[in-house]
Amino acid sequence: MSRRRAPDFAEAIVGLRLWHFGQGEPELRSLGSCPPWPAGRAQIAVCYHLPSPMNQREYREFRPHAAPRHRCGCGIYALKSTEAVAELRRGQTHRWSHASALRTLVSGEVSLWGRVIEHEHGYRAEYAYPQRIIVPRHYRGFLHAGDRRTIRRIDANEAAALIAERYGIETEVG
Amino acid sequence: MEIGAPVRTIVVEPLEEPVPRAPAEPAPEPEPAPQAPVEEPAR
Repeated sequence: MSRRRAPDFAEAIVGLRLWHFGQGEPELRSLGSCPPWPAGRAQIAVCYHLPSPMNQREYREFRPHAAPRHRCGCGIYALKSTEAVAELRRGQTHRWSHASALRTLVSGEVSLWGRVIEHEHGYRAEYAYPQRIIVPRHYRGFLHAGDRRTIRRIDANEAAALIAERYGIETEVG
Repeated sequence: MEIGAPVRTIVVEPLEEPVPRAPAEPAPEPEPAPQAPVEEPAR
């Protein structure tokens, strides 16, 4: 049975994030290859880190662990400042050669709780749920149609409405 | 995502979980109702 220390805070920490929304499915997705963000229940951090077998010592000593762990990179990420979010967005611009991938980006606030590792510019958390989402005016997403062979394009207003309905949170177009 | 060096580890236990009470989770598609077997007429 694991022992957990007494809580330091009785209110969730609020961080800032980017997500993708409307890349086929009406769901928020992290920028990495993590599972989509569920509606109505917390996103739970899982450690996907597995050391390379080439690094024999690290590979041998690796043990599966609950996320986030101090000496790992796992956890649900969030940033502290809008400047850091803007820089992350610029990084995505550099990273993605296909401009359409940038058009599905939305930003917002995320509640973080459970075990949280605070970093200089952000956090890694155990549990998270989006709190407020801002859909940029230039947003352009798409949803698969029922037959999954065709797509339907959605604009910022529709994306904001879909996010609000699905996740039960405040959204705005800005 | 560059978040810099770790500063501290904290435990956050909100009095109320910050998840909306009435989420709009899409309802699963209903499964087709089982059909009663068709009885062959007695000969």
